Amino acid sequence: MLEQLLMAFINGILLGGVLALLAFGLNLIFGVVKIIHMAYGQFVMLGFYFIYYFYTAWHLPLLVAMAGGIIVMGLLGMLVQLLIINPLLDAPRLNQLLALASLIIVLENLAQVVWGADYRGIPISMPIIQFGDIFIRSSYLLAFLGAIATLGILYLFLHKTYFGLAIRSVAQDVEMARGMGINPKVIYYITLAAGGALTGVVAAFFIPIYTVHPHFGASFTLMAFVIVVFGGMGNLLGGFISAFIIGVVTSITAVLASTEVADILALVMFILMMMVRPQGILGAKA
Amino acid sequence: MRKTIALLAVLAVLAMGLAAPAAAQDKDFKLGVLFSLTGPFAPAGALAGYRGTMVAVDMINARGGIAGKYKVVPVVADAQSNPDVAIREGQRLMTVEKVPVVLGVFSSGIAVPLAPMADRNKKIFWVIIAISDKVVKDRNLKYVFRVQPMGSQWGQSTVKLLNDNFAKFGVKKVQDLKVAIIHEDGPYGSSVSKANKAMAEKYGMKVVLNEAYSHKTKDMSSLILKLKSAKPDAILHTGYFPDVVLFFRQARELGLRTKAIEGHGAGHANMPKLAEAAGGDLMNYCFNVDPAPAQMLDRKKLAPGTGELIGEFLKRYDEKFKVSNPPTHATQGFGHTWILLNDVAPLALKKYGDLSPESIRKASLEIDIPEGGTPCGYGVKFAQPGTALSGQNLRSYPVVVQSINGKLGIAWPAGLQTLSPVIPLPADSPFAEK
Repeated sequence: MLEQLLMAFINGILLGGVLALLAFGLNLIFGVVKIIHMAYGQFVMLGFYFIYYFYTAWHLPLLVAMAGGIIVMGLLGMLVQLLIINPLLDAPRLNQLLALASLIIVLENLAQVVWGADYRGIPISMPIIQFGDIFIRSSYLLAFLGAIATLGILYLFLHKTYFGLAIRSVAQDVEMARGMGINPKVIYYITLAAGGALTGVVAAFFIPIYTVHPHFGASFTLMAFVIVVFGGMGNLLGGFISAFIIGVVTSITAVLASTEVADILALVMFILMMMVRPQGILGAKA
Repeated sequence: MRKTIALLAVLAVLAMGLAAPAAAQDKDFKLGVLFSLTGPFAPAGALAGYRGTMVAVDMINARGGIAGKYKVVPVVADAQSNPDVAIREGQRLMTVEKVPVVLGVFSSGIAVPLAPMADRNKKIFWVIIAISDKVVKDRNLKYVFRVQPMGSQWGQSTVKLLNDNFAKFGVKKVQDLKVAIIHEDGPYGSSVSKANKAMAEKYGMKVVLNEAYSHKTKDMSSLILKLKSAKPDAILHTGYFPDVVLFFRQARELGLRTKAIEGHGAGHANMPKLAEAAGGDLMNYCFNVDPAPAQMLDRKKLAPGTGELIGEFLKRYDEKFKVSNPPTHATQGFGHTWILLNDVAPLALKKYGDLSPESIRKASLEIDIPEGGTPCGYGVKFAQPGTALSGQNLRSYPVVVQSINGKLGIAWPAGLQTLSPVIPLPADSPFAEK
């Protein structure tokens, strides 16, 4: 039993890495543009399809296909900014939410028209990492390392570059940033591009784990949303920590009870957090 | 501009000219066709079922329609893999489109609520893929007919295979066999797993784990950890496609070892597709229960003409959808629609004079096709009203197939066997015990 719990703990840490990776883009976009990207999971789905397409139809090497997918998703992020977010920047919150929610339907149906309703996957045989009776899942380990690397790169980008500084200033106070000569719209474009590219990164790390279909994204949006709100909306580090908490708690609960109970517990924790500390773990009080 | 108007006028007249005889045509038979053409159930088998149905409709119409007289006009509705939508669409087909028969439905989660609705509306619900026992069992429905076998038969077949082959597991008696049951938590997984458990307990096997999960789950590793510590000889798995792929991939990375893995349709049904998505080595030697796909049947054992029928179906399916080796759902869609249009409907016409729901209901209760008489292999005889399984075809059964290096063969029942089941998993399987 102890060994099983240890395995579940390791597994939870790795799962936390996967979840953290998932939540970065949503968090970044909310932090800067103050918009909830309802179609975030669908973006992950599209990223998955693009990588699949580049790999199978154009026969590109997998890593090149992944890079291609990340670039395309970045461009698509900018397109969303241009076509949907820009016209609604000063519109009521509800209008923004509804517009992005309808994007879900557009993207899912688009994927269905282009790639059909079939499940698609790239069969990759990941190496097996084993220490005695302890098995470490290499696909999750990779995503975990990816999450840490991504957090590091995001940190460097936000803190060591001019654009990063501009993004943070817009996130803190749009009017003041404008006064300092920063054009918030340009910053929004960069943020959405980064958010889009991050969905491409998520998709790349998900390739060895999942198969994709047009409705693949929906549950990821919910999961990412829970993590982001739990950690404090717009706070990258908070999201990172909350992903690990949720990963470990669900993983251990699933072993002690069942996966169904674990899913319930994750949402109960979320509701409790909303009641006790609505701003999330590291969020600032509004 | 004038030219455009003239063209539009000509087109309008043409359209009216075309529409008029169709509207005047009273020898049309409107057939409600309800499948999840979009959403997660579509690729899992609903789409293949729909395609099979449409091939059957094409073939009947190519022969001059029902009894050579009534052209079949399908009224297609998309259930969108969503029970709420499915019920709305089913209701629309029955009350607005006023079709005498609604045919289809892949998911038991949709068929279970839809069945009593058909009875209330006195319209035939011809269930052709959904397998949960609950669709008909103990409901005494009068307008619902199901041609395919029931979920409990799925759950029983795999355990019977274990019982017949227990010596291959290296145990002295069947009571020493350890089985684990894992299943998605909807009506389909629950009904199959219940039968798994009942049958295993009947034989005295040890059920070392019995656990449900949501088919939408994104992580199955905890379940796999439990399987690892339970050390089962055989794993009985019931799930949909994404969770089955996830299971295989995660089980490999977590070093799961066992002697046999048996699937129960749905996610396991399309083995070539599964091999493509998960990696062929992962599901090599895996078993699956389903009615046999038409191309696997031994045509010499079928009634005269049935083999040719299957040939035509496979040819048309390939021509229309570019799939030469269609999954079992396509056979079910085709075969079960064919039975309705080619056997039941003509009997209703002949004996009761029309194609009303009432006449089709009476004809269904009288239909009697022996084993080998349908493109699905099995015969047709529906349970009579007032019995526990009212509306269920009592002659249908599934078979257990095993996939060996990309080839499928029938491993159970013994009478239909085309291969001797390979147990335990050989060394080239990543799940083989070392």
